[in-house]
Amino acid sequence: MTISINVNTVERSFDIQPGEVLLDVLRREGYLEVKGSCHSGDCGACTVLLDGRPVASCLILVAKADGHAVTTVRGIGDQAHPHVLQEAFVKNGAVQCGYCVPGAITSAKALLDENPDPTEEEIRLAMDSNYCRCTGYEQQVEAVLDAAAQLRKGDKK
Amino acid sequence: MGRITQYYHATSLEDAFAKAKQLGPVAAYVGGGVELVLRRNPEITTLIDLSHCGLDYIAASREGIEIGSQTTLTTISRSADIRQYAGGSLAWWAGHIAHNNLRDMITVGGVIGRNQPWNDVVPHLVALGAQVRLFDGTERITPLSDYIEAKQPGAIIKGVLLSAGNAGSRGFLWRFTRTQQDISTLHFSALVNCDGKVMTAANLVFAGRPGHAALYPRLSEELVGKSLSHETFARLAEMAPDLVEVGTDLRATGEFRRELVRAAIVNLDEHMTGVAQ
Amino acid sequence: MSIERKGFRHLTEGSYPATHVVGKSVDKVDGYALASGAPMYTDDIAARDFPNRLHGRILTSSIANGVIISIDTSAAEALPGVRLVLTWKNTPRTFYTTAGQGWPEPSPYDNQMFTERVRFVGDRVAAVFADSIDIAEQALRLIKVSFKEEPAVLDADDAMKPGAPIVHPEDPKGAYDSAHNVAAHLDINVGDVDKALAESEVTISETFQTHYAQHTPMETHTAFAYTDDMGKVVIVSSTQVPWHARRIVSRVLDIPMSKLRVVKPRIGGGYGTKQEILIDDLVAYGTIKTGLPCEIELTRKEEFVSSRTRHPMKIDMSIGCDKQGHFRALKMYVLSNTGAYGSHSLTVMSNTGSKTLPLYNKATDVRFFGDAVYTNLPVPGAYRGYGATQGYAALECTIDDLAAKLGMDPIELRKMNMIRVGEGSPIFEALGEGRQGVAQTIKSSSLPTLIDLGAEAIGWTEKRGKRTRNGHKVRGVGMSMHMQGSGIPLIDMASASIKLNEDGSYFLTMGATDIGTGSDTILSQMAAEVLGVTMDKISALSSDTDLTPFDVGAYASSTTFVSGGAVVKAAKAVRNQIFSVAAEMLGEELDQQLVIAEPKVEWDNTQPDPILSFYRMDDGNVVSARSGKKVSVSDIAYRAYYEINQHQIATTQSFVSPYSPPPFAAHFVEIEVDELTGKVEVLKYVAAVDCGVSINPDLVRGQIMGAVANGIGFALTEEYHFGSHGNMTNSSLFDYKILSRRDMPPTEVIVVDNYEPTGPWGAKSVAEIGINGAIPAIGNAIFDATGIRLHRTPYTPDKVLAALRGKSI
Repeated sequence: MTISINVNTVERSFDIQPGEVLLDVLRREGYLEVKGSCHSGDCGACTVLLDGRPVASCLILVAKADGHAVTTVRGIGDQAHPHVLQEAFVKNGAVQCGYCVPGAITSAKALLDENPDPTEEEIRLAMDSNYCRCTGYEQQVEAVLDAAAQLRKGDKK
Repeated sequence: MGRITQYYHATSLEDAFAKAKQLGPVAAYVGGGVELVLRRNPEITTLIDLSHCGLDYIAASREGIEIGSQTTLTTISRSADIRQYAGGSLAWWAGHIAHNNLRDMITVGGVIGRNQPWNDVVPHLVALGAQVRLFDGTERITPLSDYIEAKQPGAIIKGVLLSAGNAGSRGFLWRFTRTQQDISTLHFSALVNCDGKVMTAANLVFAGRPGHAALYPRLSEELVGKSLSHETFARLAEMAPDLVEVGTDLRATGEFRRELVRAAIVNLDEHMTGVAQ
Repeated sequence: MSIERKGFRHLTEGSYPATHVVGKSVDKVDGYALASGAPMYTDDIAARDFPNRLHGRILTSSIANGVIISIDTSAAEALPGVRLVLTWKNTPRTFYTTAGQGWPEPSPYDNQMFTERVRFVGDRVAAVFADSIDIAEQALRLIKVSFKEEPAVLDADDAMKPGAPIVHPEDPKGAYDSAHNVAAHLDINVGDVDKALAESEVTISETFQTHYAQHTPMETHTAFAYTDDMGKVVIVSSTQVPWHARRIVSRVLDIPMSKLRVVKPRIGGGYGTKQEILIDDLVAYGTIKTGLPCEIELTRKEEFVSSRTRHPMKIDMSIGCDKQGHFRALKMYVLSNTGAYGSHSLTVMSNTGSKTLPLYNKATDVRFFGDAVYTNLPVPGAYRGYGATQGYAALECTIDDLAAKLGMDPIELRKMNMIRVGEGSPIFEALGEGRQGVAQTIKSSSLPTLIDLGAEAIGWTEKRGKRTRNGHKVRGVGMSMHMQGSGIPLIDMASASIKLNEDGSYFLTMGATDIGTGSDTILSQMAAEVLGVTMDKISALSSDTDLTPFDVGAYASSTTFVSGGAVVKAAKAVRNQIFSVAAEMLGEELDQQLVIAEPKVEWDNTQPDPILSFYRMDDGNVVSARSGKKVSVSDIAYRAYYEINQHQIATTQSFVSPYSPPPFAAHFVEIEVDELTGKVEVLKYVAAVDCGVSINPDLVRGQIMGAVANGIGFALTEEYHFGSHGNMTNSSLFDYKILSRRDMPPTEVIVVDNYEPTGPWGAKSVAEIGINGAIPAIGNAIFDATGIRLHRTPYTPDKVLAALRGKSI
């Protein structure tokens, strides 16, 4: 069947099987910034925003996203134009192997979009799907605090 | 992967139900948010999506609160009405169990319909005395605990009702997990009504034993009419480990779960007597 | 220098030369690319460049021990879309080890691509390459295998018993005594330990048992191979050891190295498990047989069941001392469970002693001995800490119990016996990695400071022994002390090449294998420091067996120290070539011996580099010490490449060191034990570490934090559950619980830099040491809180509660 999804603000239509999950279709269509890891919704690596909310793309049937908007980490920012969150991750030593980082930044983006001044505890809760085996998590929490502070100052967006 | 060949976006409850009836056992509703289990079921060929059936709502009225079955845990956790209901226990836990992706995907109807073992919301709803509004051509309301005991195949869960009568009681949830996002090794939920000195009503539920939620009226009786005191709970803590059915799985042995049952009651004691002070 | 912020203190001890890039938390060179999800991991590249590649899936054994009587692949082969089915019948029969280690290989040759005899649930039986993953999985279900099942060894304690089933009846080359299931054996003696124990005023003997655990990198083992236009087989692999991978695949498949190339892209974490050749052979063979690109990405379940784990060990630890606590005797026996294959069996076991016992060098009589035994269980391998983690579990808990026996503060007992600057240990020489070691003298150590700062941070004196109560919870504090190494002395070799570009920038190629640690970044910092340029002037590439020079790979905490040594040497050599042209341009004399002499890492550490009295680098220029004149490096390059006396300014240098200076650590923890449930909650963790000069403090902190998180998970929640035939029953991230963001306790990292004279820019390595503390420090804190000593890990609630209830466990 053919479905249409707005991916990173671009209307796309995809030929899919009704049993496929969003992750597999996104990667097949070249959105390789979405990383797969556990394929069972336990690790958060494949997090994307579905209508602004962070979801595990390995669990969502792609047909369910028909007519909806998906944002991947590349839709948040890229190397040439990094989002303040991506910059803060790099500046705060929050990137090591980096495999969890697209998912972690995507969860953080959803948080900051509705809570510009989160506490550390709110950050941990809003990103608790995102397993990371390299950083011990703390520097990523600091990165989100840093990004939130910069966004509040209004000199970055 | 199974052999899913069709994905149907239902436009209304009636439409969804008619389609399911027409197709029989090869059809399944998509409404839980987490549909991996359907992909693995080789019988199912058609999925019926409920997300366009107007089931994502939270409506407060004089009778209580109704939560549409397609409402996610995150939405529940943010509802001002649910935050005030029974001390806010449902709202708090809906915002803290599992992890942030799942809380944004899991719907209340989905977890009830599939009785997913990782979920702490269903047993807590049972303790809160919730009812479900079912649709199978016509609508009817049945207690959630009854629905779980005798599942109605084919019926669509339209909504979950929290009665206004329990809004002023005290909801309590204690769970034991290995890590924060793990499923419960033991889940304990309680709804206790207390006039300050004497407990006037109680619903006690254990889950994750392993297995689904069950009310323990015998234990509940032990609290009703008793004074709010350590002695009351100490008696309960003594009886409960023998009464609650527990088993062994990879998360714990039955023996260890019996210890957790006792710990659950002690935590309720500390919560209730602390509140009373 | 002193940086302080919440959760991180970075201090220095002693003085050393000022630097402009080294010691700064510069951005990770791949940071922005990774943070925007650039397609740089193995599967990303395969998906982007080879959309029509074949996908491989592996059929594994469902029994623990037995022989394949028949295997029928005809139905699988007939399935449309199936391109290749591999079993023992149609693949090379070479015996080899999957352990990616140096040469000669210290692990037994007990593995074949596919085997007629399966040795654990998860062992490799067949593989299918097909047009899609779905087809490959369908094909696996069509392969008919019949086994003759045999009794299995499912407990390491039973492995050496008479009559035990023999896991490797073929008697593999390199196994110590396969007739008794002994893959490896060690017995190292210094003095006479039994006599010393008998004569000691105070002795203690305890036995500890550690458990199976998995690395769980976020990216599972992934590799693909294709044949390039010239007929060369190119393997792109998530490996920690590209050169070992090429050497092993070359031998197993009998392909000359000239026809085989291994490329390491970005890696999604390794922690040791990717120091193993698990699928590289299959994808290479797949492409050879089909002519098509072939990929295998292990599923999470396969990652748990069939890849590599940590060696469970049973360790008997005895200490003898006088009444004042002066150590005389240390005796450690290790029974290591190496599962169905002996990957890293000898070397992990040897590190259990060699990386722990020298820490207490006051003991005069030491015996370290052990057996690594085969069982029909999952296969352990290299895992961050590499045996030392298990050794410290036993050693550091026993020391606390000894302190209790002596009525001493455990910190005082440790300080009395620990190794200090200027001292060595006979163990260094007696025991290396599976063979004779190399004598070492400690040249730098902040350990005494680490202990003091850590004790202060946790509140040691106020809290210890107080058993503060919080309802039905009781609190305690504990600590432990550690060292590791910095590469394997006189074995690990690394090399690096640097060439100068016309604009004064440099291209640095390294065999050093950045697996997410940030080694490309810190090694670029080291080069930039020597060359007097900013980071943007260095472009780094790692690692590719065709395009970059050799390196043993990312393991044994070697990269910062060993690969760093190679980079510093290369940078100095290329700098000297630049000085030579500068001298020509400025019309000054320069002794060519100074230019061509092999540069030393230690120059400028312990003695001035002789050439620096003539010229120095300064922000892209060469400055003459004699005339004060300067010339830009870009002008030097243009002259050398286009104008006069034309030649390439470039070098390749290699480094192997007789030293392996140990990083040191003191870990402290405060915990709360729930007496109703037995659950242990970590309230605060303090990791104080000396890794020489921190080349990049933020990345040092990251290494420590990651290791601590992994260590706490290993201590409290991560474990394998087994069914009745050794089948893992919790092989998913749903059932195997690593710490999530909400489980990580407040953790303070204290780094105390201390210039290591043998290290590149004073650095030692730091990758592994942080994982060693959680088990003993938490175990000691449980002891402090409750008086209970747990001898089995992990410290799960059921075990703690049983002990609290007075049951033996």
